[in-house]
Amino acid sequence: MECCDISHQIDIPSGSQKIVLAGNPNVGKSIFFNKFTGIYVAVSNYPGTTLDISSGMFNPENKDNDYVVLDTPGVYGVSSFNDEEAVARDVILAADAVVNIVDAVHLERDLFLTQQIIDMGIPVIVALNMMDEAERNGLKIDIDELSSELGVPVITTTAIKGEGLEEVKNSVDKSKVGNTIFNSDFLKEELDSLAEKINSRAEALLIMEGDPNVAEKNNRQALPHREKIYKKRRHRINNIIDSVISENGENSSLGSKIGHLMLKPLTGIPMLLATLYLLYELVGVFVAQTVVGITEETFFLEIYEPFIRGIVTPIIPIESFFGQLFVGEFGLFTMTVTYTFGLLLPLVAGFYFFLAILEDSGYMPRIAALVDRLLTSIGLNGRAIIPMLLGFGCVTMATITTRLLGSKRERIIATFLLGLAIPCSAQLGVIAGLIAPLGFEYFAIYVLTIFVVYVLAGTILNKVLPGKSTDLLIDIPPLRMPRLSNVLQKTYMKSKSFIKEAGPIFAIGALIITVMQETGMLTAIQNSLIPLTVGWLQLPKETATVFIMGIIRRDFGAAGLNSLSLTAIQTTVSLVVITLFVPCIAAMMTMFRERNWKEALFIWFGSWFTAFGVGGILAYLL
Amino acid sequence: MEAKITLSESMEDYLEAIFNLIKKNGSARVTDIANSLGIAASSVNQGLKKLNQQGLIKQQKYGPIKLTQSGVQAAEKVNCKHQILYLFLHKTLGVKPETADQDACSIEHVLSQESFEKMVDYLIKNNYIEEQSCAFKFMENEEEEKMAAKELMLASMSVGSKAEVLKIESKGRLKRKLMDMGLNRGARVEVKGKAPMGDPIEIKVRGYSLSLRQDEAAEILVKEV
Repeated sequence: MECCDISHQIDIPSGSQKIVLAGNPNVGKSIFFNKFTGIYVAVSNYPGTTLDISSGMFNPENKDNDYVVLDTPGVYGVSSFNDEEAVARDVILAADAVVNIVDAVHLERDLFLTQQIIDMGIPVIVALNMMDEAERNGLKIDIDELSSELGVPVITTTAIKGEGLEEVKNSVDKSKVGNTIFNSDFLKEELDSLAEKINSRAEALLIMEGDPNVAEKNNRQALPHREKIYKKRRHRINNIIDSVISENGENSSLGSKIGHLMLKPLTGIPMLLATLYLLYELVGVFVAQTVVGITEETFFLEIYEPFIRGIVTPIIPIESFFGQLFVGEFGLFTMTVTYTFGLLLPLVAGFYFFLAILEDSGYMPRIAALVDRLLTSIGLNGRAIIPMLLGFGCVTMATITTRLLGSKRERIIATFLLGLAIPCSAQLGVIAGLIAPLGFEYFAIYVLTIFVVYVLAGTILNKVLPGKSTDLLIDIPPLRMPRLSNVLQKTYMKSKSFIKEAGPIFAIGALIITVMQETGMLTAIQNSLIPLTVGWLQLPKETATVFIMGIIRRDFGAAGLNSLSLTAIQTTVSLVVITLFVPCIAAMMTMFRERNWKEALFIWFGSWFTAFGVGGILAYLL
Repeated sequence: MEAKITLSESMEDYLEAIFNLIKKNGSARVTDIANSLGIAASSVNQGLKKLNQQGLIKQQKYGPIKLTQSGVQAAEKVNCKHQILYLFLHKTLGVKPETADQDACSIEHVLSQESFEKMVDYLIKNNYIEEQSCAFKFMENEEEEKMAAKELMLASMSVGSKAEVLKIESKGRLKRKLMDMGLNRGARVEVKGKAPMGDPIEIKVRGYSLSLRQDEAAEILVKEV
């Protein structure tokens, strides 16, 4: 039960009326949040897009009150199955009113949560979303009947087209306490008396349903009434469904047919491979070579850098310390800017663009289901494919995403594997550039080595860490055509936040390197590493600089290899070491933040050890 | 509605061999099976593993092999088809006994229920078999099976079949999550597909698609509908 402690405290703004957006995963809560507050949060077509609680203020038209809007991770029930659910539960418990977003196509599933929130005695307003899809599927829903059965207002919406959002926004004060499942039996009596004792009907219900955390918080024993309550609730939902849905057309659109093919072994695997190949063509070939060729080489190296040197050097001589610091080899205005905007930005944007399409189309959960079996063998869950794929974009970003994994154990394994064996897009571009001229043989050696290390590390961690992979239970959303505006917006937002986060750390890294070089520390470290680089890895001693730079940014390191003249074997060994070596400082800092320092240090030293160990063995074998 | 376990030809051969050995010696051992089929013991072991997974046999480590109830049924069915085919070939067409036996061996695996029933009818009409023949028991069983829906685990359902949830046998959080997601008693489910290596499976429940592992599906008792 270690995952769901009350340690997960969230800041809930006090004072104003709290409106909580709640619903099953992937029903469009984030679009509502964007609309209500004007604050952007990522919108995708995969469950688990919202990892943190976002909050924002809004003021509906013609109303005096200010409201705080809180977004929650999607859940199927208010309980504490995992961290996500515990967070959602605590926010819902604090709500003054809940806007429950319900997927009209999956009413039968979604109303279960609606009824639970109603049973908690919290005022609710239901936004019946995805009405366009419901209509396309031939569903006829009696809205008035639904509203009177539930006892709360129901507003129909099609959030992606913006329909009905304004109405929901202006109706938040019309939310009502609905009709509960409790009429006049012993459950009602018990709930009433417990609610009076602990002064919260919502918490009383959760205790009756056997929630251990809420029971502990109130110094009470969890009660064993869940089965009875659930049965009643399900029974009631079935009755409501029967009376409000009149036509239930079977969905046999082209989308659902393709969606089905994506999961079948015979068609699913080729489709996945084709997708990954497309990703490689787009990011690995088009962006990394053509686009970066223009941005980095033609623009930044040939036009921008001479230009900025031309401005700075008349004032500060390039040989001086500050000259080196600003426009030298690792200068803040030269290398930092060139790498950040010329190399990283196009790669990261290209990657996010492709990923945004995958996310919005609904393909992601299908990939997760397809690879689940493989990932369970290294102790992970199919869901881990999301951070793993993201890792090829940016390990820092991916480390944050490991939160969507269900247990601490999986988060440790995923974080370690990300730090160890997944090269980020920036690094990949440089690696691809370095290894391609060497021929297929070395490319194969590189890929095979990394792959073997990845699988071995995962298998060992799976064996060593106690516990086993968590349940899969992932819902497969219908395929949807990605909307270009959302894809572009997401690409823009993510690229921007990446540059914002990585830029400063990048600059600090360049600063440290310049200082180390000017003070002679770099030479000293290089010399002290000679036994390791020259003796063990059989590389020239300058490669030590490359490894140190690798800590600052992994691609710095890889790019640094360009300037050394290495044999094919030496290049391959260095690339393996650099890939396995610690992730960049930004990713490291994220790991310290996401995990604790003990685990982060373990990951750090673990990857050092593996990198040099494997590199040495490879150097010896080749 | 044909939703029972379909066995491959070699599996049926194994089953038949085990059935006959038990009838003859009272028990069946791996070496005996290998000898009677003329194949290596290692391939027998693999076959037995599959039969075990499908719940047709029981085997204690290194102990004799026993047929489960459904194993006996399946074996009897193959055996019976063999007998009927043999009679048909030998008695009505005049095929030599050895050839008829060999051919029956090959045809028994692919013979349809319809052809089988017609053959039985024909044999009865011409007084080649009597009312006590295995065929009647077998045909009755078939009827009964059609009438009474079988209870089985969600994991062992084949793609395209539909069922109603009877019980969730897992405990604690998993159970709660499954119930939250609408998989409780009375829920209608349909198996939509299986990923590579048969795991995970995709089911349709309460109007949406859910992907879950074999292990998880193995804890959900369902009744075919």
